[in-house]
Amino acid sequence: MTADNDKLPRKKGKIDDPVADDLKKDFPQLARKINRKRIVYLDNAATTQKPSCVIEAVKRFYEEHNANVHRGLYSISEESTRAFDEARAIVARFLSAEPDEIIFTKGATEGLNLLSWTVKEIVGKGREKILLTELEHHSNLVPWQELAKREGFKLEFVRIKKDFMLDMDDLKKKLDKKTAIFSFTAVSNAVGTKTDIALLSRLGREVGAITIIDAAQAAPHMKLDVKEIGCDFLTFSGHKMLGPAGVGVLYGKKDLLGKLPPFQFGGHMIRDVDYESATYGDSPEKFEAGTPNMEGVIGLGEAVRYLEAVGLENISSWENSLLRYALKKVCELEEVEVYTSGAENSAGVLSFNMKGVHPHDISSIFNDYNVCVRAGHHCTMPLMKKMGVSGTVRVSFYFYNTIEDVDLFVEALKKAISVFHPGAEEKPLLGGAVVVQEAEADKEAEEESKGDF
Amino acid sequence: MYKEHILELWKHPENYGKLEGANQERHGFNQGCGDDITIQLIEKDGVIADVRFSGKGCALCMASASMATERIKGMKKEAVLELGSKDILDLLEIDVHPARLKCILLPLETIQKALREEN
Repeated sequence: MTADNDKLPRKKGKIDDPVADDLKKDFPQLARKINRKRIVYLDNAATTQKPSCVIEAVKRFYEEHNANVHRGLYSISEESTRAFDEARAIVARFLSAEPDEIIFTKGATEGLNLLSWTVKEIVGKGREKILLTELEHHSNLVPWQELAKREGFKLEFVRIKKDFMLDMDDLKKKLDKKTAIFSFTAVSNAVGTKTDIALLSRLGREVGAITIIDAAQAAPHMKLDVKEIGCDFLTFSGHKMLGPAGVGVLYGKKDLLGKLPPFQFGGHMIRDVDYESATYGDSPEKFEAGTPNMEGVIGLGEAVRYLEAVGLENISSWENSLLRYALKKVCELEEVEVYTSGAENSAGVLSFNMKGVHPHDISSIFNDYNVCVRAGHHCTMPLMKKMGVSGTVRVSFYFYNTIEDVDLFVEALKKAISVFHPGAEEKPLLGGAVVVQEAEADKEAEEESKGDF
Repeated sequence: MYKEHILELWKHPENYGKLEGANQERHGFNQGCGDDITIQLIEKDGVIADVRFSGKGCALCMASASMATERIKGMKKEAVLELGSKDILDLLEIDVHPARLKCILLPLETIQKALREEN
């Protein structure tokens, strides 16, 4: 029941503006118009749009193969089970992992909660510290706060520098033999900063800490090879990478998954049950109690196939071009304050504020242009407090975004400036293709990066 | 949404600042967006004698706080407690996107909480 290959994009190689525009056609919602204007979807860090192949895979499951997996001894149950297992194999290949190292969750948040409730059993004796970074999303913070409260762990945070990059000196001071858990984001959802996940995993491993990567903002945008990265666990969400909501992945090293106790209990995760007690199965069943999100998993499998057909390296590269272009345009506007590590060190996220203006007022103006962005604290309240802001406006790209999308966003931004800073001089919009001057964009972005720390 | 009178109140809010002699004070906060205001008022014989607000928030929240505080001055407490979202929308004379309703309702809700707490 694998989807038809003709629904996947042809191998296109490097993405440029025409290719991105062509890929956009695979996403039905991006063709939608509101008030006769097309949608400019730039909130991909929140969730991505879904390509036809994913929508059809879910629809086909409901129409042709819907039966509970791993249960029925009849044809359609065998079909659903086969599709479900195939999706697990697809995700495993995507990460260079083994299928039994892939646990399906309802999202990155559940993956991190699963670990926060179980990982205590595998940390070394005498280790009392949970080390995070100051960049973390609430999902990689609050579960650890709760674990610290329950079990008496100490929480520490690797500081970030003014450019939002991790302070490696601070990291080396704090990552020590007392560290039980070192959990960090691969990409900041709020400001887009990439961390060196292979290096951080190696440093964590060297002191014997359990290393956990929140890859919610990385898996959709860059190639992840867990063997090369060398982390113990890695988690992400399906809906941020073209898949359905309510499904996510937790990767864990096989030997560690073997030692972890179950997170939830019930059907499917058992080996044998008596009235008084039960024994539990192996990974991944041990961690997947109850009927799973079958259509979600199958949709996610199809999403991964689509992403691989486009090519993760091509995706990273095009998003970086969009970010450079956007940074260059936005840094020309003196009313705007940009929070960035520079294009070189960022995934496709551009976070900013307009001086003296609340981010929600800006995004409301954007809505008149059908420019969809996120405004607020991005579930990173401690980071916002450190930056001294209540929130930011966040533009986040995906491979189907085009230069025109960026131009329309900048046009909306200039409109917002004219509303809230009516004295500011309106600069003319550049039309057509614009050559991205990479070095300049980087330099300006650096100058404009003014986190108030 | 951002008509001239809204922007004017955002830039130059009315009844902004501390109120000496306030006998009611209440803090209001929108978790999702960070709108953060404090209402102070003087209630005398069941009537709102004076009211001021302070804090920070979006343009809609600031404009709404200006108008709501202006509206309730001299009103009976019971009448203030009966005000609803429609009254605030009528005051502002704008169409508000549903997601922004919480911004414009925060000032009134905070005023009403301040008044109810007295009982």
